[in-house]
Amino acid sequence: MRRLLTAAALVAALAGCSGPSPDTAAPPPSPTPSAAASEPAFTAVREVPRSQVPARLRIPSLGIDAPVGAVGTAADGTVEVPTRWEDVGWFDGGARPGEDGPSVLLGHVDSKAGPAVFARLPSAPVGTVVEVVGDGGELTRWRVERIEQHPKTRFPTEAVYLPALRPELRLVTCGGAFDRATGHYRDNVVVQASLVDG
Amino acid sequence: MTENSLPTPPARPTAVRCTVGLLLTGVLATGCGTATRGAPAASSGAAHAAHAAQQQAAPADAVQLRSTLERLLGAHVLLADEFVRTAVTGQTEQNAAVGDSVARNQTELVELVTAQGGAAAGQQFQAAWQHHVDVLAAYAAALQSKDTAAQAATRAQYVAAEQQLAQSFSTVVGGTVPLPALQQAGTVHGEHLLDQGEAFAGGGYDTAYSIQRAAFGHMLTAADVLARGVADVKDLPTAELDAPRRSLQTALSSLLAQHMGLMVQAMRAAHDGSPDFPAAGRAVNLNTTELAGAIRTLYGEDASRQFLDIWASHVEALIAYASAEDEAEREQRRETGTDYAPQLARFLATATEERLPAIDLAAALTEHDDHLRDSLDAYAQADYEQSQALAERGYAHMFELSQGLATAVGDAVAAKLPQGGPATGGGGLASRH
Repeated sequence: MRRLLTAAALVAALAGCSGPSPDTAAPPPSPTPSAAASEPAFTAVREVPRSQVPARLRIPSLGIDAPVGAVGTAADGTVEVPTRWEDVGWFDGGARPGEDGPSVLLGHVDSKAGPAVFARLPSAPVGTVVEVVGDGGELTRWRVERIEQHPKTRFPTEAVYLPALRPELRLVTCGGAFDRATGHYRDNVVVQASLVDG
Repeated sequence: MTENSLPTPPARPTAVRCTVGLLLTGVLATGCGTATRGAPAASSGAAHAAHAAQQQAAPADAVQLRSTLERLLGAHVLLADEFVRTAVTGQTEQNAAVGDSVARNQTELVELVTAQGGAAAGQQFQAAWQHHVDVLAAYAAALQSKDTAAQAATRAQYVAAEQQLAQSFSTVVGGTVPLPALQQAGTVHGEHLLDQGEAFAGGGYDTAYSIQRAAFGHMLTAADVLARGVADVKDLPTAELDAPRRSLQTALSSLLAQHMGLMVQAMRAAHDGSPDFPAAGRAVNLNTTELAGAIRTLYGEDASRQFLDIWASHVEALIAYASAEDEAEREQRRETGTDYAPQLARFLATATEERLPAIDLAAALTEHDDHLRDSLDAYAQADYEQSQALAERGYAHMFELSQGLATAVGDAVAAKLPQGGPATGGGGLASRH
């Protein structure tokens, strides 16, 4: 089936999202003088700066302003989730927000009694601005590009967690129908956002 | 100003038209790859070997097509930049050799377009591509002579030439990619190449390398768009293009290919003692930072540090090699730093859980090191054709290496990822309905 790639999407891809922009990366270390004065001085970089660990998540248009804590992989191989309904979890096995690769933040859509921190996340429109504040006060801003819903039995693990060439933010919560027999929602909602600045 | 009144450009690359008969097989025939610039010199045997090694059957699926386009379009950026720079600096012989590389890259692109779009599309593309290279050469000459009027005129001609190229690409993708989008991409690409040259000519070397990096990234996007357009025309499946492991492959290819290109530039600059060397060194360091960042995302901080330690030694040893005063000193430094290959091989073998045997990895990494050192040797001996051929081979080798790495790394990392969908809901909202 022929599909017409929209001009807007392509222009955005080829003109606006064309990979690294000039001079936006942090300046690499400058060379230091070497012992042989006649030879060009060069020292290879041996330490790479890191972004800050996320400490707070804000989505002003959705009224979300929540603390962020680290979560890892549970003993059964699943991802840990926040132990408080109002908290957001950052998967510490992936990138920090702002580093190349996916930074995955998880939050509950509801508690057993009512809405939780990500209750309104599934209804976020494309273009929604997301702010992440690091543990040193560093702010990164992101824009929602895509919202997807997947059955948990077919969760797109690699699409969510495998590294990419540029910084990406992925917000994950539950969605779809609630299975009372298991006490869990059947689906997950994955919100993909790209870095605006930081 | 008419085209006839343009300043005399430096040696311009030419390319041979391929016969239609050879193209009907859809296979890139080695007979199409010979550049015709006078009688072949002895060293051009390596050039033919390099070209033959890079040729491959016309991609049968969208993923292969995108990977081929990434390689060819990425190479075009590096070669075009080098072509302009050597013209600006008046390095006539080096410029001629780079021009031959540009011609070989053009031949591969023409063959690819012809295989995908047919003979007429290939001929249209060949004419448009040759024209845009000719104008770029004229622009470079105007930069060298500091003729601002000629610069303005050729810049305008180059922008028009990019629009012609957009039209020829549009023919290949059959209208599935809107022409205005292709034209806009052509404008962005043209500005990258021209601005890079202008920055370099003005001594803005950091800016030149920064633009080169942006231009390379832009070509990856273009490769993706074009591959999807062709796949649409030919009704090829495109789901695999969206697979995360393919994105990982693109990421690794980009980083490793740029590493190769930047090392060639930096080593030549080190050898020449040219003023852009510090900027080249910073560009190399930025690429290393990105590579280490990828390792960190895949394997964590400790692994990233370990990788950096090995990689930094590799890079420093190569720069030191290029900085040697003469052949005798290079010979003394030849073995310094070559132990990076077995070290990095063990690191990667462990990282891929032995999916890639260390012995094979070590051989591939040694080959990479040899490409760079041998290319520099040839450059130092003023055998620029040989130097280019080895650089081309080394560049293509990075794509081969990254394909294997992405598969093995993807398998190893994927096995450790959290499984299943997270339990992020208590049902409180559902109980209200």
